[in-house]
Amino acid sequence: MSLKLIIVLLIPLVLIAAWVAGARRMQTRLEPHLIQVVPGTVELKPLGDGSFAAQADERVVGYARVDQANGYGGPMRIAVGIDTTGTIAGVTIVDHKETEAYFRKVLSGNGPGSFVGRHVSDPIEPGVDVDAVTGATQSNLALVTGVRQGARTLGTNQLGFDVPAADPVRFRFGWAEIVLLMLFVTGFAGTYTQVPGKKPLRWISQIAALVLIGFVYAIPITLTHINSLLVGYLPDWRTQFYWYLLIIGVLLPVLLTGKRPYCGYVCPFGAVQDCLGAVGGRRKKIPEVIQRWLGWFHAVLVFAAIFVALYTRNPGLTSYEVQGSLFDLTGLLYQFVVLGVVLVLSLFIARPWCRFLCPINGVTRYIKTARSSWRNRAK
Amino acid sequence: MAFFTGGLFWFIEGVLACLAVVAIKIWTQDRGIAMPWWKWLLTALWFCLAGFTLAMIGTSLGEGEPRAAVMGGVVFGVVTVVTGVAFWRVLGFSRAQPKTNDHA
Repeated sequence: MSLKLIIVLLIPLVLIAAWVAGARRMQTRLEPHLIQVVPGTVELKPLGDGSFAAQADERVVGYARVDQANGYGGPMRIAVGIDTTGTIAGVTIVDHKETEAYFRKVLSGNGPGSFVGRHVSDPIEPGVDVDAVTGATQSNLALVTGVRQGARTLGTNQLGFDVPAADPVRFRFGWAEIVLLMLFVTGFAGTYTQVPGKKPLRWISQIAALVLIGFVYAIPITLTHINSLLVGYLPDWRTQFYWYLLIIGVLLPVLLTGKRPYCGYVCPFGAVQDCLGAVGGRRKKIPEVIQRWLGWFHAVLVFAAIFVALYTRNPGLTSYEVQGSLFDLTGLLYQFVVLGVVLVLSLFIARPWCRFLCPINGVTRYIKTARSSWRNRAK
Repeated sequence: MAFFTGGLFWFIEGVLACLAVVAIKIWTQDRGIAMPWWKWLLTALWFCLAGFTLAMIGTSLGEGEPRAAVMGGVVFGVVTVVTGVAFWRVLGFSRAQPKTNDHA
């Protein structure tokens, strides 16, 4: 058995072990959060429906519960407390799976504090009666949905308020999904058929992806998507159809054919590097030995990022991509620095990010290797 | 970081700008590169951008804002390098060879 095959087999086994270990350590104590959201609480009395009566001196001072809603990286659990008049007394985020830089945006405004003082019968809508957060829409929506759900359940079950009915979930299919589908169709045509003018087609597709998927919608695929899939945090397909399109469009072709139309035609950050390469000529060659070492570094980095995400059950934790820093100016300081280095290198070297750092390339390269190893053994 | 808020920083930036202009003049003459007005204009614009980037990093550090210095440095530094490489190729500097010595 070759070393390559051993590594190919070992990787999923180690990741499964991380997944199992991560599942075992997923116990968060809720009590401190529930006490925190109703000021003055001394003890909590369970009420049976997942809610608690917050008591002080044998007297009920409010009610609290924990609800969850899906964010960008996975479920976000939110503790909500109301007083006896139905006014929200406190909100805390028990745990979340969001990418750190985006989660900071949610907290950067008033965050959970913006709900305090609202009544359970209020609309509780971003931009209506609570803060809307630009650039972290999905994470903020999870917070708002969790608070609304929790507050309304408490209001109805404990205080008998007549709260507005929850909006029915509608299938969301808008311009972002249409654009993504069209880009994938172009990518598949360019990759799998012999259409004339492949080169201009690829440039047109890349520029469109750069502008639309990159700057307008700012939702290219990231490691968070892959981690969420591996951890098992699957969003509601009716509201997150884009998520499924992206995952299927990236992974299915490489699983079935070993080719990656996304990288060449749809990836906006690949387009940025190609544009810079056209400006700088990207004629520099990296010595073979350094390429091999960088290849190993890349593989270990991606593996470690997925391992940690599975172990901590936090898909967004290890999402180290730098696209967010470019497309919506969100990111940690090191991401801006890495982005600068990558952009400058792209002038002289072909696609440095894709070849030596991109986690999606790491994952698809693994699938390709596993696929070819499997096929070779089958022969 | 007092260096960046003092006059010495600006003095050095001015010296660097002068040296850069002289250097480009001698370098282009040495290689026989024609420098019409539009090439000088692009070169001057690029020097302004590079000077601005340096000044931005320096003044941010001087004001005790290292994060702003890094962010600004990355954003404007990348723009400076990219436009620098683009101008280098557009102005034909990349193809230039030094003149051979006829007296040899």
